[in-house]
Amino acid sequence: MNVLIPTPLRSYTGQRRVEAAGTSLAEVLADLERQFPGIRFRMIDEQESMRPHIRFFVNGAQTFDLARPLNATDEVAIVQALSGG
Amino acid sequence: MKARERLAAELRTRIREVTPAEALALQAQGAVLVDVREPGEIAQGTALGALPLGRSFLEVRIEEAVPDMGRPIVALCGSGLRSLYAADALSRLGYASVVSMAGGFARWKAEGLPVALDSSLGDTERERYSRHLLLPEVGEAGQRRLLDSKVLLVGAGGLGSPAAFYLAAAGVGTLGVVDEDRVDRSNLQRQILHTEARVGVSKVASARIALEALNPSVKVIGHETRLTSANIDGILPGYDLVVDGSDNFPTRYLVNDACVKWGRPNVHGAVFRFEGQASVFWPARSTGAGPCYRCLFPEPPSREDAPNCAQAGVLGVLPGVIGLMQATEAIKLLLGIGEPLVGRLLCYDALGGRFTELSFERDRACRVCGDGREFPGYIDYERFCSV
Repeated sequence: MNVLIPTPLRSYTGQRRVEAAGTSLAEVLADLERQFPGIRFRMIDEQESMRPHIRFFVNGAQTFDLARPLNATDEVAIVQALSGG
Repeated sequence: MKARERLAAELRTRIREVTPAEALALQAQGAVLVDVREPGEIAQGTALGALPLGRSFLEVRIEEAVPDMGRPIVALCGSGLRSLYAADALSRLGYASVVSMAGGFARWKAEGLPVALDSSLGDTERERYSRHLLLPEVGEAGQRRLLDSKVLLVGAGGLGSPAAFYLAAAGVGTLGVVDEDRVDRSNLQRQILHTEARVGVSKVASARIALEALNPSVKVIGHETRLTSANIDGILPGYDLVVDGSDNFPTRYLVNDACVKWGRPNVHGAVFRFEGQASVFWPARSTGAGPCYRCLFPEPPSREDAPNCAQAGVLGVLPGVIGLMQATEAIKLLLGIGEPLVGRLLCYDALGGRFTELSFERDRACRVCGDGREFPGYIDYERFCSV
């Protein structure tokens, strides 16, 4: 499925939109980690919690659940807090 | 029975209703009439001497208009229903004696009581704002409201520049500008308030020159300082809403917390490289509480996770797009029209040429705006953002 990567993490992926596979948000993040090593830890901490400056959305709605089931047509957006003005 | 009728019936058990004639008598004894209808309705006329405060900014504006919480208030609307809700809100705010006028302005007029038309615009204003006056959603009453509005721009930089220009052009009567910096040549690629000739000048002074040249009737109030926990309460409450165009996380969290404390809408924008975000944070919204910045992002990224534009760059036109979205949202809020970006984050990907709309909810356990919470006080924002 299509995943929107926050600009500050684009250094890992080279592009804003990437393809990743998985039947849950956790699996999609694991697939991203396989493709772009190191990216997952920038989003998920040692306690397996979403980092508080990174937010996850499925089909435009926020989710806090890493077990959130996904299908191949879902759109995942990952957003990071930005400070620039 | 519909929910709104149930609520109205319940309110009638607590809130006294008066007839228009009784309202007129109360007014003669010192009570103030507050018209809570939309600007377009008020433009058609209101009770003589009534304050045309409207509903959407009622809680924000009432204290300035009626500083004495003991002064009796008569709320009025079109038919006497909305004024019940408004009277309830004013009672909860602490006004000791609030009544609702049964039958509303329709009955006031039918009974032949004195009517006033809203204060009208001068010829120059009519010409300058003619394209606004043609819009039924703005019209003369809406333009009057913009002229009477006060907006605080936090930062006269990439976001603040386009926002300030368009708010001044739209006739927002008072623009506060907070910035402690001086104009640097590297700012000019995007900060269009400033010019080559004003490199080295304070941004506040430079902004004042630019805005007064565009619209001399706008009152520009300069705050040549960095917002801190110590000074923000002396600045922010004087404005109807805040446009956050700051360039650092400590200021963003401080502005958020102060907006929650004072019940002001926080029109948010942020940019980085080719990505921009905009939203409206407004927990005090009377028609449904919205999330605050902390509900979305409880904590900022660490410094290494968050390079700023000075380190990583920004496409010059990008803050133009986002700053104008902020100006648009500000004007909608001031006029009480359209759907504000409350609970929605609009993300713009300039390279992809795409907007993505993301929805999020208020965090009922949020440490500053959570349910039943007293404002917890300001914190050390530099420290909070450097962990």
